Amino acid sequence: MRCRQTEKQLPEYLQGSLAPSAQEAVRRHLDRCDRCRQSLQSLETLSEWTQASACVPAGVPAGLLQGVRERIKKPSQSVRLRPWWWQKAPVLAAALVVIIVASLLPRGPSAASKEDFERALNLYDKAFEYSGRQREARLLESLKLLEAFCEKYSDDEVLAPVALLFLADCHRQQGRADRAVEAYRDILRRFPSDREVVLEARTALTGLYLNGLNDPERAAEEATWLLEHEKDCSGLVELCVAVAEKYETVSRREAFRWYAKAEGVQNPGNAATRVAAQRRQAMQQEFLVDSYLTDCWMIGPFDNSGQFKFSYAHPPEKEIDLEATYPGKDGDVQWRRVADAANLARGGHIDLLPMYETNQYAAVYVLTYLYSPEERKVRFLMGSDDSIRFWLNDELVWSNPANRGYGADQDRPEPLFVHQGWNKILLRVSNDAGLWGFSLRVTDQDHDIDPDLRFDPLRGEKS
Amino acid sequence: MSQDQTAVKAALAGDASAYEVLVQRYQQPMFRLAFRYLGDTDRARAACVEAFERAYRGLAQFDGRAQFGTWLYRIVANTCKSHLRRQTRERERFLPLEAGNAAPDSRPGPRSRLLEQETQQEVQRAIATLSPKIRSAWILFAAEGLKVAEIAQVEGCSVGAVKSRLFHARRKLQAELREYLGEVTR
Repeated sequence: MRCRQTEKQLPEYLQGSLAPSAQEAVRRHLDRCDRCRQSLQSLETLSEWTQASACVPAGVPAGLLQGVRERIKKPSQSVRLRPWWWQKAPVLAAALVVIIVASLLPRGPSAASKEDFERALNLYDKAFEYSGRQREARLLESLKLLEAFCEKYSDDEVLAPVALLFLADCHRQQGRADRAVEAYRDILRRFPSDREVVLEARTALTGLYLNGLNDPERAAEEATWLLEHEKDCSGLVELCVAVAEKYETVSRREAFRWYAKAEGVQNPGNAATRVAAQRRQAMQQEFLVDSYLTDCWMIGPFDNSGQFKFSYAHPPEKEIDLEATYPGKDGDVQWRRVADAANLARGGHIDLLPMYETNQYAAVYVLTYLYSPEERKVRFLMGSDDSIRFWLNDELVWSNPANRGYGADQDRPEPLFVHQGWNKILLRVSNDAGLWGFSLRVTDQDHDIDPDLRFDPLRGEKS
Repeated sequence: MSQDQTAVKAALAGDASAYEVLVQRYQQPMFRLAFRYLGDTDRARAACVEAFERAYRGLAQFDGRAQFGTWLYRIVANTCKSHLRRQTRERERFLPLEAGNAAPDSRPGPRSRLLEQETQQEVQRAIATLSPKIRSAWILFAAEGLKVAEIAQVEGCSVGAVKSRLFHARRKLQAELREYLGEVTR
């Protein structure tokens, strides 16, 4: 059930005069729509105030019944002695004067404008009793009346914005998203201080960008405006969730952020808030896996003694050939895939000791790729036992010859630029003796997990 | 057959006292309605007398499909509207805008006392800004508690039109009284 439909049923709902199924449908809508709930509350309050506002005298004034008695005793005065136009002549003359005067005055709210408006609106309402072509025909008719109304009474500050809202909705109902956007934008330009109209227009625009125009960025702009200016606006949580869902296929980072925003809107008990929280938590877990290096290509051990120590360039620094065989410390070595998601439980630590028999004066190379949807700065955080060197897109960007025990995020280089798309990551982890291992993770510049960044040794291809 | 219908039948047969019974039964709600439209005891009484006379003369047209009260509401509402048109050529209004316009014998009921004087005046002012049709539907709904279908009968329009009018009435009043509503809902 739509909000507008519900709002029109609120008087009957309040009086309990709807059919049981309709009463139930409204109740269900009210359960999940803060805005309509607020409308109901306003309706109740305004009704009470209206009852209380006029000091109606108690009882009946003296003489009423007597007055009626006297009047009905007299013969009826409505005897027609003249032709009808004679009786109506003063009225017609007065009407003529009104018309002439009205045509000389600046245009504004008038009974005629309201009648035109109601005619267009009734047609619009009636359209929803039909479907398919019949509905379209009625909407089109209503659209024409609304267009004529908007042109004729453009300076009616009360009805013109509402008429424009209905006009925009007619376009939307008929699938003309561009025209609808144009109409809503027109409303925002012309009536920026009519709060309710602005809210309706912004909300509708968000929906249009999400559904009709498939433009999550513009939808996000509208929703951001609502978040900044109308934090209490009802339906905002649902709107944020819809934006997040749209973003999921385009930018997981934005989707994640919008779920977080939805969760942040103060609206306890809202089902959409719960959905947002669940989705955000699930994504967070998923992003955690992607932001740590848990899956990579590895080759070694190479010699890390004497002249081969630390800065010596073994073949992987010169070429990447996953099929090639190179002389290693204890014989020929080849690239192999190492996938260990379990290392997440150890803070991303990849233990090299069980993987290689030789751990003394040995070095391994680690190869993977990082995906970024855009060119931007990111942070790489590393820990190693012992030394570590790090190439980003074949450029040596970090080099720490430390002889140390492992700790998570020991090395925190300044943020580095990554390209849009896949970025090559090569590590050399060298060991003198004893324990041997490392970790690598990526974050945004603020050290936060960034859902749009992810490691993948296969560059998005299936193995 | 309801008591009203019996009385109508008797009145149509020439029994004037039967019609007096109907007047006595309905004079209070009709006067209340007229007062809400006209905001003045004397004018409301005059409108009621005229409306009851019109009803009497048109009694034969009452076909019993609607409640007698609803039928009467329609006549009172129409009479009040025409009084209003006659009286206020410059600006139509249903209720007095200044407290001084209220009838001298009017005493605020308990509900009225709950409302601050300022809010009362603001509510009246806001209602006065509604267009006649919308105002009428709103008064019948909010003040008289008529059902939407009954308002449609009184106003001689469709239920959909009443819904639209009430929708716009609420919206307009909400906008006019935003400041006061905010204090209530905050």
